[in-house]
Amino acid sequence: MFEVKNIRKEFQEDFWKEPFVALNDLSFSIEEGKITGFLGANGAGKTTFLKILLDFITPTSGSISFNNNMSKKEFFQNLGYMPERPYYYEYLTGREFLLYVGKLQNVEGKKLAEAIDRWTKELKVDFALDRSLKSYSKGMLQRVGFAGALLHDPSLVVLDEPLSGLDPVGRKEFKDILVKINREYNCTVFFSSHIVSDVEEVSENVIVIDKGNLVYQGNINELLNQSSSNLVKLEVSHLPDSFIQDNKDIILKTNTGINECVFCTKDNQQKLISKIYESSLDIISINRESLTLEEVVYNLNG
Amino acid sequence: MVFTYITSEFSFGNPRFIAMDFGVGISSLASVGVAIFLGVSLLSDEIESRTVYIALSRPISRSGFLFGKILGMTLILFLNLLIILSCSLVIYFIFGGEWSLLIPVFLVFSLFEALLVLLIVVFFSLITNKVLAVINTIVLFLLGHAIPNSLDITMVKENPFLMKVLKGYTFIFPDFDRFNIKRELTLSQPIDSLLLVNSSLYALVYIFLMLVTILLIFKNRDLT
Repeated sequence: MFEVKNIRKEFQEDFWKEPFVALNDLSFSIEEGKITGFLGANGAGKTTFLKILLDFITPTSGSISFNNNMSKKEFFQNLGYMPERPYYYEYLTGREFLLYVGKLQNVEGKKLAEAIDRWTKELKVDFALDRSLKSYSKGMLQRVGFAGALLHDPSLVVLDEPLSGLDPVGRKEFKDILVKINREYNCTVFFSSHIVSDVEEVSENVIVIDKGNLVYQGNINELLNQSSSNLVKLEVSHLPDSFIQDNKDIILKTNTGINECVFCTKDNQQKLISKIYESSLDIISINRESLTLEEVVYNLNG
Repeated sequence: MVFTYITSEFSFGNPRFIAMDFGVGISSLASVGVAIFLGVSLLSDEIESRTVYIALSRPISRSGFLFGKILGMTLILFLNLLIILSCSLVIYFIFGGEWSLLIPVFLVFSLFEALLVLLIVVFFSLITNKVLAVINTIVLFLLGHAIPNSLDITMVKENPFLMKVLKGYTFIFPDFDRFNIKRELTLSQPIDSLLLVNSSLYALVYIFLMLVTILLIFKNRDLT
């Protein structure tokens, strides 16, 4: 969809001070038709990058190029954007706001009315459309903002922390809609978050940045596979010490809990299982020791 | 309208003159006041509250956004000026005043003046804070009237250096006195048409230069 090449952004806080580097030589690409999560801790530079993508701020160096020779104007015509905090005209009603943003995207008349009806129902904010935005909760503003980003059936949706400020039900609904627009309308979704589980749930690809530097870009499952350990965990009841001593060449470590656990490499898994049966012990469970994306990202960030 | 009526009642024999003088004066000042106090928030509030993101994340260019805002504000200034001037003229006509071609000219010149003030306050609001923007604009407005008038003072005429400095000022900074035709209008004096054309050209060139400057600043500004 678009390719980011060596983006660097410096902020000069004070004339005498060294500039603060918010993004450092950031390069990655966003694939068309995929949901890509943009992960990073608070202050990692996610919002700064999104502002550069949307031309709100200019990079110190680097560039962003779009697929199919798409011009910047075409990019904005096909873009649905929702900022992190809902910055809307509070004196407008929800409907007036959506009519305004629809017209900005050149959607008018019956088509616009239908789009407002459809997306506000989908996002469960249709009941409040005739109330002024200043009476909306943050979650409702997020919903009406998201509806505003979808009115013109965009081919790319860019969302900055879309799930912040939402209750668990709202988070689930937003994630379902992200998956829906991606699957049903082949819409490319690029959304930032600092909550790994949200990204893990809906994204195929992930871009991880830390302190302005790219840490990882690619498929989430590949990242998990790369980072997962080669250990197998066997939970055994009443494991005698003598068994551990006798098999210390294949048992890498043990863990005591309600039931005792032994760990071995995947290659030694069958051998250890045979030994356990030979010793008339009961195996309660066998699991591959796997890391969550949260742990992987935490490890990537050092 | 009420103020125009009351003031003309205190005029002791020339209510028509006072009605026109007070009416055009107040409509001109009111439009400049509206230009300053609405203009200072025109872009700066949108940038500070980040509502500018709504338009700029859509196929709207910064120049389109800026010109739309200025155009809308120009229309407000025109309507404001038209309403206040019409109210004042009602009293003038009640006292037997006659229609003059200078009335629409005054309307256009007052609009030029208000538009220039608007662009100056927008310019300052982009490079400084709101309070300073208002103060700087008021200072430029007052100097823009006072300095061209001071060129006729004998003390200035006798001091070539001071004359050069003041003329230099009027060359760079806006000369609002060019749009002041109140005296000719109230006293029904003839006015040189070349002067009107020159003043109109001056206004259009100055407005164009201010628009370009504001656009350059707004286009290159980081909307953080």
